[in-house]
Formats: sequence, C-alpha cells, structure tokens
Amino acid sequence: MAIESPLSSLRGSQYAALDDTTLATPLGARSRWPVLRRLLANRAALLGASFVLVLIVLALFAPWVAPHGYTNQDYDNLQVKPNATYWLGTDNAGRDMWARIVYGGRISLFVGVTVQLVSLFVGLPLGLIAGYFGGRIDTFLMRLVDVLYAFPTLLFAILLMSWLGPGLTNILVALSITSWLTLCRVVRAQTLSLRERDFIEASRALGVPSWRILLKHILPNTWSLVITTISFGIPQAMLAEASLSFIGIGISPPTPSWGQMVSDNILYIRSAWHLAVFPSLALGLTLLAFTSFGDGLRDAFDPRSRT
Amino acid sequence: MFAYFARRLLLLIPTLLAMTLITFVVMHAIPGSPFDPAAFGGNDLPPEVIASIEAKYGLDQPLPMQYLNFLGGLLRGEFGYSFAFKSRTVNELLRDTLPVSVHLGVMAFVLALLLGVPAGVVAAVRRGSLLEHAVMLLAMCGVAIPSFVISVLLILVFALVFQVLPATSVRWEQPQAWILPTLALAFGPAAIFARYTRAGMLDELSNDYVRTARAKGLLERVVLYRHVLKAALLPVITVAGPIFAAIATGSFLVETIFAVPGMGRFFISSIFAKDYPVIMTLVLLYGSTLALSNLVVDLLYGVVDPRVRSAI
Repeated sequence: MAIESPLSSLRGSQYAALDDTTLATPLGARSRWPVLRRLLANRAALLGASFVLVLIVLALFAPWVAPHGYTNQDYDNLQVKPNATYWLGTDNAGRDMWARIVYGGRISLFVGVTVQLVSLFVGLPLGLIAGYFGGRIDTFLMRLVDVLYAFPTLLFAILLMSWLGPGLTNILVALSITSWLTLCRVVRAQTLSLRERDFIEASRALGVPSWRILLKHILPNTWSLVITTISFGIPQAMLAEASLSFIGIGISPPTPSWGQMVSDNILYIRSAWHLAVFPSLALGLTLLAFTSFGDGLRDAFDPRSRT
Repeated sequence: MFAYFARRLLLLIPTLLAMTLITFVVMHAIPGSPFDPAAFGGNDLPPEVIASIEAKYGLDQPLPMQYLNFLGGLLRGEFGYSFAFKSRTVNELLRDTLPVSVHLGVMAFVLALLLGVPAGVVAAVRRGSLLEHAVMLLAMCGVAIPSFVISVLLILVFALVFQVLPATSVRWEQPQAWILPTLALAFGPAAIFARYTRAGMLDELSNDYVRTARAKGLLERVVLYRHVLKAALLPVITVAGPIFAAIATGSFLVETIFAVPGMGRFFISSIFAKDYPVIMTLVLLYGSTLALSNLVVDLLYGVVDPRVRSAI
C-alpha cells in the first residue's frame, strides 16, 4: 500500500459527491484546490466566513475589546442610548450592552462548537460502524436514531433542561444528546454506498483489515459531508441555546446570553428599543453568516447541488 | 398500497409509546414535588397537607402505576388535572388555548405557502436576474434567522417606528393582533418553500419534455404552470414535516413575545411549575402531530406521484 500524503486524503474528499468517471481523470489535470477555489469565488460565503472570523476574534479577546465588563453596573447611566462611552448603550441595571453582547457571543460560539465536537466524536464513528458493518449494531443504532428523531429537537432539549436545571454544562449535555443524530445518519448513508464501490471491494480482496479500510478509504471520502453537516450544526446549536435562554431555562444570569437578553428586555421596547434589538440583531446576523458560509461550503464540495 | 399505510399507521403506536415513556421518565426524574412550597405558584403548606394533595393526584403511587394511569387517561381522552392552574383539567385548558395556537399556525402555514411558492417560481423562471438574487437572499435570511428575532424587528418597525400595529396580541379577538405574529411565524417556512420550489422548478426545466412542449409551440405560460410547476411541487410536499416542526417550535417563542393567549406560553409556564400532566400532554400533542403529519405527507406523495404508488 502506497504511503499517502496528508494532501491526498484531502483531495480524496472531493470525489465523495462525484461519480466514477471523474476518478479516471488524472490528478494533475485538475486544479489543485478546486473546493477552495469555488469557495473563494462565492462572495456571500466569504462575507459569512469573515463575519464568523470577526466573531471568533471578539470572543477570544473579549476582556480587551469590552473593557467595561458584563457585570459592572454604572448607576449614573441606567438605560442610556448608544453613545461614545457605551457603544450600544446600557441596560436597566446600567451594564454595558456592547460587553454583554460580546460575552454573549462568546457563550453562544462555545456552545455551538462544543456541541458539534461531541457530535463529531459520537456521530461520525457510530455512522461509520453502522454503515460498514451493518447487521445488529446497525439495526439497533438506527432504531435509536429514529425514536430520538421523532421528538422535535427543541422540545427534547426543553424537557431535558427542565430536568437538569439551567446552566452552561447542562445546556451542553441537553443539546449533545440529540446533536449527533444527523451526522450519524448522513455518514452511515455515505458509508453504505461507499462499501459497495469497486475500490473498497478491491482493498477487501487484497486482505486490508476492516479498520484500515474504514480509516484510510472510507473516512476520507466522508469529510465533505462531515464538514458541511457540522457547519450547519453549529448555528443550530447556537439557536437552540438562544431559544432555551429566551425561555429562561438556559444560561443562568448574570452570565449574558443573547436569547436571555431579548426576553429580559422585550418588555422595555417602548422606553429602550436598543436593549432587545441589539442582541436580536447579533443573533440574527451570526446565524445568517454561518448559514451563508455553510451554503457556500456545500456548493463548493458538490457543484451539482447548485442547479 | 393499503397494506403499506396500515403498517405505517401501526408503527406510530410504538413511536408514541416511546415518546410518552421518555417524557414520563424525564419529568419524574426532576427533583421536587409540584406542590413544594418553593415551586412556582406554590403555597406554604404543612407536610401532611402536601401528602394528602399528592395522594389526591395519585402522586403517592409507585411510578409504573402512575405511568399506567396516565396512559389509561390518554386512551379515554382525559389528560388529568393541571397542578398549577388549580381546579382546572388539562382538557379545559386545552379547549381555551389550543384553538388560538392552531389558528395562528394555520394562518402562518397558508401565508408561507402563498409567499414561498410564487417566490420560488419567479426565482427559477428569472434565472440570473436581480429578482432571483433578491428572492434567494431573503430566503437565506428566512432559513437562518429565528422567528423570535424576526418578531423583535417586526415590533420595532410596525409598532414603534410606524405605530400602525399593536406590539402585543393579548386581545386575540382583534384581527390586527394576528398580523405580526403570523408574519414572524411564516417567514422561515416561506423561505423553505421558496428554496424547494426553485430547486424543483430548475430540476424539471432541464428535462426533455419541457423542450418538446416548447418545440410544439405551447405558450410559455402553459409550459411553466401546466407542466413544470405541477411536477416541481412534488418535492415541496416532502418539506411539510420540517415546516410543521418550524411552526410548532417557533410558536412557543413567538406567542411569548407577542403575549398571544395560546398554548405556547402556557407550555413554558407549566415547565417552571413542574405541571407534569400539562407538559406530558403538550409534548405528546406536538410529537403525535409531527408523526401524523409525516405519515400524511407520505400518503399524499403516493397519491400525487404514480411512480411512488407503484413502488410501494
């Protein structure tokens, strides 16, 4: 078996969605990074990606970009409108809205990424195993997935949160329990179809052990799906966190969360419109940016899906 | 075909049973009694009184018995008493709030259909135009931005800046109270409809029969609406399931923001009150409607597409 460079496994992923005829094309004849090239040509996706990047930077450097802090109360400036000191104004308790939005974004991103990491480490291996080995493991896993799928995700998270109680860790648990289902399904379907392909059969005939076929041949061909699924999963988890916090069973105060800020401040929309509108905008724009980036990724991996 | 649907209908039973069991276990794993003095709306009662109330509601029985009692009630169409809204049965509470939620949901669904499908058709027919880009951008916003964010923006624009519509919908009997919640709830589903309609239209437009129809001189209008749209709407039917879920879960939050006197707000308050019978009933109601709507979608699909009918 030839030694594979890290590049070849990346290149392999672009074939995931293409048919066998393209495999005959010599590698040299194609652009080196077709996926990246197509992604860079998509302006909406780039815009989304830059917004997400800004968000990540803000989250990482929150103490420096929002020096007022999210709990400090300025009793001389309660509910003030946006100004030079408080860029987005202050809330009813005199806390800096800009800081609360930056720290809220930090929480939101953290939840989105952590939940999807769990889904990666649970859904991906389970999907590979169910799809490749089939049999009883597959039947059992798919039954489980079907039952959990029957519940609307948010409803299930609400139920779990009312059991576990509010808090960051509990949100991560409640959302992770259902987050891996989609990835598991998608990877299983892809593995099922790959298993029947000639190159896998050839490896089996050569006596390559199953774990090696899974890791070296099937796994690299699922990356495009995994990356797309996760890029859509992150905003979904962020929205779920915002919805739970909006209801009042998510992040517990004083830690800020966008959803909780909207529901706390919607009552004051007549006297202080900025209190509910800014966190709403932050959440809306963030989810829009992620979706736009995810759409771009999907189109870049599978150009046919555009038509 | 009949056997297939009979089997699907029977498969609903274990799904619903699993749903009731999971909900029951989760609800009863929550520490604390709904009659705890510290609970939402609780009174400062001596322990003996709490014990007697718990006996009245059957909470002193072993959990498996409580579960069977609950299932027995379900079969008779009785959902028990609400713990928090004293002396009212869950049936009475549902009778007051369910019609409002269904009304809002149906209005949102119809509006989404009326906005989404034509928008998708226009985007597909005017390929590459500014109009297509505008529709697709709006559709992406609709898919990405949650209904409660849309609600806040709608309140800002229509209730505060232009002051043409009420910011809250407490008085549901006034039709102007319907407009903003319906719009907020319909935006996301309309976007999903638009995306699927456009994709379906583009798929169909590349078929040979379209070229044939044009070649024999049919009016473009006839080609598009009599032939292409009819076929393109098939995949749109399949998204009814996700659309229902979007409307149902969206309505909790939208109803809360606009203070709509429906089931959503009531559901949220019952979570805080540990009002088991209400929570279980509502979860089951949403879950079974979702499962049923998926079944109806499959049924519809068989009815409208002869290829599916013969495959079953």
